[in-house]
Amino acid sequence: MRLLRLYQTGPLAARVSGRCGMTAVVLMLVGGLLLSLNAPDSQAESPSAEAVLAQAISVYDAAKARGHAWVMTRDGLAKAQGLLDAGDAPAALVVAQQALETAEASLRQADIEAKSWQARVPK
Amino acid sequence: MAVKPVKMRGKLAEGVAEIKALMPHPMETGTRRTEAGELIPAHFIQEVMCEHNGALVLRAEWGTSVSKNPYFAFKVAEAKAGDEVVIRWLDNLGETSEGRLTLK
Amino acid sequence: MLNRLMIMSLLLAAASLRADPPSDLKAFRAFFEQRFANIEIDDHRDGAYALDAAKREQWLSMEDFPPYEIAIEAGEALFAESFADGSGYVDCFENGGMGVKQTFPRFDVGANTVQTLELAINECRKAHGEAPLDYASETMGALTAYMAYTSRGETFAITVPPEGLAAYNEGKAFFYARRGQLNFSCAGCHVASAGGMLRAEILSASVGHATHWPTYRLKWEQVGSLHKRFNECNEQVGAEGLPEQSASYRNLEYFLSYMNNGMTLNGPASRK
Repeated sequence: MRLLRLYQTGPLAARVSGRCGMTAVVLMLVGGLLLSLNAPDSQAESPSAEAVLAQAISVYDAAKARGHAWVMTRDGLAKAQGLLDAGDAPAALVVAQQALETAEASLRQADIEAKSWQARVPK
Repeated sequence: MAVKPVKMRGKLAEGVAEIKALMPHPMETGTRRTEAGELIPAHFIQEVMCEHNGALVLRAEWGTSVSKNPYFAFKVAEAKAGDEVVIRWLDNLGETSEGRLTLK
Repeated sequence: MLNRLMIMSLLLAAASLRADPPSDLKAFRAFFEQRFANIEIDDHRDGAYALDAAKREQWLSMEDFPPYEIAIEAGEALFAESFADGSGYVDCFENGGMGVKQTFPRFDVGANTVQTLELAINECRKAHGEAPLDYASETMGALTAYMAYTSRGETFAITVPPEGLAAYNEGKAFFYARRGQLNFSCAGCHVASAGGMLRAEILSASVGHATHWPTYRLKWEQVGSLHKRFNECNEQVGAEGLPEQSASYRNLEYFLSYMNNGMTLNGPASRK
C-alpha cells in the first residue's frame, strides 16, 4: 500500500488535482491500487520460473534449428522442468535463468560462426 | 544367439607355435540393463582349455572382466608342422564351442 | 591494353577467391602435405597410427586378428539373405554391391539429398517391402563392414554435381564452424591442431578421416558408423548430437569424403 501513499501525499497528486480535478486523482489512486495488487509482495516486477523456462526453451529451439544446441542447455532445461514439477519454483527459476544464458550464448555462437568459419579454410 | 566356432591363426617358428584366437561371445557381465531397465543375464566364458595333439597344455578360468568377443593369444612349445591345436570354451550357461587348427 | 590487363588481373583474383570442391581439395591436401612433410597423404588413412610408432605397433598386432572380422562374416551372411519378395541387396547396387563403397556418399539429384551407403541400404529395404534397419544397430554395422571390406584398396571417387554443391557447402560450414560449450570446430582439432595432443591422444589429420569406416572401436565393442563418431565428438565439445543419418551429418560426411578423394579405402578398421 506504499504506492497509494505516494500518490496521495506527493507533489504530483497536488499538481494533478489542481489542473484536472478530483477525477484524475481518483484514477491515479485506482491505478496505484491495481499496480500494488498485481506486484508480488515487495518486488517490483519478478519473472516467474515458468516464463523464464519458456523463454529459455524458445531460444534453445532457435539455436537447435541453426545446429548449435548445447548439451548443458538441454540438461539445464530438463533440470528446471524437474524442479518446477517438484514444486520448487525459486530453484527452478535459478536453473532456468542459467539455461537461458547458455541458450543465448549458443545462439550468439551460431551468429558469430556463420560469419567467421570461412577464415579457417586452408588456402 | 547361435554359438559360433573359435577362429584361430597359428604361426610356427623354431619349434614354438604362436596361436591367436578370436572367440565370438557376448560376455555379458550380468550387471548391464536394457533400455527398459531390465537386467541382462550374465553370459560369459568360464573355462578355456587348449590341447596340443590331444594333450591339455593350457587351462584358463575367466570371469566377467573379459570383454566381448575375447581375443586370446598364447605360445605352445615343442610344436611342429602337422600338429593339431584345439581351443575349447565352456560358459556359465553350459554352452560350449571350439576351434581346430593344424599347424603348417 | 591497360583495360585488358585490369580485366585479366580481376579474373585472376576472382579465380583465387573462387571456392569450389576441386580447389578446396587441392588446398586441403597442400595443408597436410606441408604439416606432415614426411608422411604420404595416403598414409593418413590409418589416422593417429600414422603419427605414432608405438601406437602403430600395438594396432598392427591387433590387425593380425582384427575384432571386425566377426562383423565382416556376419555381414556377408546378411548380404546374401533374400528379402520377402525374393530379391536382395544385389539388386539395388551396381556390381551386386561389391566394391562400390568408394562412390558413397553420392548426391541423389531426384531426392535432392546426400545418399550415404547406410541410407542406400535402407532405401533398398524399403523398395522391397522390408523394415528399415536402425542406423546404430550391429546389423547395419555388419552389412556396411562387409561392403567396405569388398572396397578395400579402391580409391575414393566422390563427385559433387552442381545440384549437390549446396549440400557440400553445408557440410563444409559444419566442419569449420565452432560448436558446443567448448567452442571447438572439427577443423580446430583435425586441421589446425592435427598431430598435436588432446589429453593423452594424438589428433589425427582430417585427410583420411572417411576412408576406414565403419570402424570397430574397442570402447564400443562393436562396429559403428562415422555418424556415431560425429556424435561422440560433438558431445565431447558440449554440442548436442544428432540422430545418425540426419541431413547435417550426411552433408558433413559428403564434404569429408570429397576431401579424401584420391585416397585408398581401408575399411572396416579397428580403433581404440
